Amino acid sequence: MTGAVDGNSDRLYPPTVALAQDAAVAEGVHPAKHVCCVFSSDAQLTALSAEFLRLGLAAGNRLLYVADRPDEGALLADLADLGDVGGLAERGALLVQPVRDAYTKNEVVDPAAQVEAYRRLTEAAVADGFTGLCVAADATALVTGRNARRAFMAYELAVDQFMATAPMQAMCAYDVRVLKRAVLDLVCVHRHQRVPAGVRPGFTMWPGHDGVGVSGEVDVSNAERFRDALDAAVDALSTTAASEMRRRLRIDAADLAFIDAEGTSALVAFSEQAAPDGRIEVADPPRSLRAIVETLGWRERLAFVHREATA
Amino acid sequence: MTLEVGIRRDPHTHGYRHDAFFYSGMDEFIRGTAQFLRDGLAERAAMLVVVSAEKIERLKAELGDGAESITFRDMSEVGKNPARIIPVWQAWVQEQMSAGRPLRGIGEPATPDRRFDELMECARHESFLNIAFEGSEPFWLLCPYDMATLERNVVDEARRTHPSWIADGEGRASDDYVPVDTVAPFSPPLPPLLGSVESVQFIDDEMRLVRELTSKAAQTAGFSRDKEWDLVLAVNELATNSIRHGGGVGTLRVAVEGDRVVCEVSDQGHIRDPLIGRVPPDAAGSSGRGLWIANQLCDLVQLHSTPSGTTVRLTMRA
Repeated sequence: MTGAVDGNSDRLYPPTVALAQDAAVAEGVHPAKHVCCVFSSDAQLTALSAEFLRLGLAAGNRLLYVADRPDEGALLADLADLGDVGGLAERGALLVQPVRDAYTKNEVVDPAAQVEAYRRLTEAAVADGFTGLCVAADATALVTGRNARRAFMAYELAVDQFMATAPMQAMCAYDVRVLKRAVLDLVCVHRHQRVPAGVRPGFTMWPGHDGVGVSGEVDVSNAERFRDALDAAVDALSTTAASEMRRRLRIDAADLAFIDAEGTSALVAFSEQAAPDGRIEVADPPRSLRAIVETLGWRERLAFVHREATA
Repeated sequence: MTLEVGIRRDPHTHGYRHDAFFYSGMDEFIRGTAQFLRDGLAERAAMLVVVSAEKIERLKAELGDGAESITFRDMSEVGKNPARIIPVWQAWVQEQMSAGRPLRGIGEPATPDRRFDELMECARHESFLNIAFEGSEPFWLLCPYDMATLERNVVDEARRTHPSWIADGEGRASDDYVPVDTVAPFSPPLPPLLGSVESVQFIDDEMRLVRELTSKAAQTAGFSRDKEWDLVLAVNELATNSIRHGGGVGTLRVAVEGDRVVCEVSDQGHIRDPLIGRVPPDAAGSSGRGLWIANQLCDLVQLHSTPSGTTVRLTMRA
């Protein structure tokens, strides 16, 4: 990546929620519902996790820490910064789990089953008197293969949709030393990102109540990832959405600054797979998308609308 | 006047016929083209006329009721970029084919208001027409050239790009006709890029640099926001071609001349298909998509390609 890629990012990317200690923590609401962190040292992972979980603790959440460690002792040791982790664990305020136990035993995660597992954990936390569930998870070990990553992108979108209305918050941490460039596949499906300068997926995708939203820029550098993310969105939609959502599928493109012809053809493929009539609405598209659809005659597939007019 | 004299090929049995029509001044233009259209009416031909708005008005007045069954389109809208004209003819021929009527067309791309580089592309367009409609339905295309106002070399070029021509009511096969070099259709070099040139080399994750440089030039030249983004998109798509088909690396050079921006993308690719960017790309494949988009969005697209590399030059005016 070049330095210039970050030059304009304020305009192109939605603001990342600061995880500062002084951020408002009230009513069980965590300042960042679902944030992606990219780390490059074990110390960085434990510091980020402790920071995130501390906010959950202050909000009265039950905490869950998941990482690639051999046993519970090692996991608790990671969180020494939180204070009396033994005491927290004893009274059920802190759960820890090696990553291999927390997620699927299979190579590839099942998005629906995984969201269901978190639903039960969240309900249990509330039943036990907590305001909700706060998760810090390093899932790097589960996403080293491309297919596994694809499935995990779908899961990330599905769980984001779940968290939008449930008292659950999560920090998803990924090790850039292991994943290298592929870490961008996971970063791009998180609206809130805490990533080193230069780690930019170019676009960000998030689930909406009737489709997905996209911000940033899609071009030859990330068109393949964009296609993967849309495929993941198809899976996530089938996981979370009743048929009602599928009646009118919508792409919120108000914060999409640029998309090229490859990205647009991925949107057309998405409309074929995901929309019952092969046609999707695109709200507030950038000029480039309009021009591509005009010149390539794809008007039948993508219908442009104003977000305000039809919301 | 009859236009059949001296023409050895019969369009009804030989399909496509492509004549230059050399005239001097508006009166001779009207006389010749009106006769051509009246002959077409007599044989119940489907007819499309693509000339200037002024000439359309004059022809409609001349033909009266006869003009009603003829389709007229303004060349300045259809063919500002001459590379957009062949798709218009092809779509029209496609549309008319099933009716089984003979087809007649008049297209006048080369007019004295055009800049030199545009006239060069008009000649290339005329030449590529011979490939686009080779072996097609009975289709007689007449291309008027005004000898009173056009430079001599433009008229000479028309003799090379048309298999036959008509002048003073007489038609003949052109001795100067040069068929398209289908092995190296884009071998002639481009004239040098003028003005102060900024450039950037790019690889796949530097498209933003490509867009930023283009965008800056468009703003310097006073483009509207929409035009700026159209040019940015066209350049982006050509740069994408460099990544996908041109060796994975390319160079963008940008020059601003007043209210005009010229952007040039060079890479190691080699283009041999003369009709690339002039036939609509199919939905599945990406072949020719970048050049098609550039042709649709830009005022002029020039192409130079040899086995050692390709340069595509885009021109757009505020």
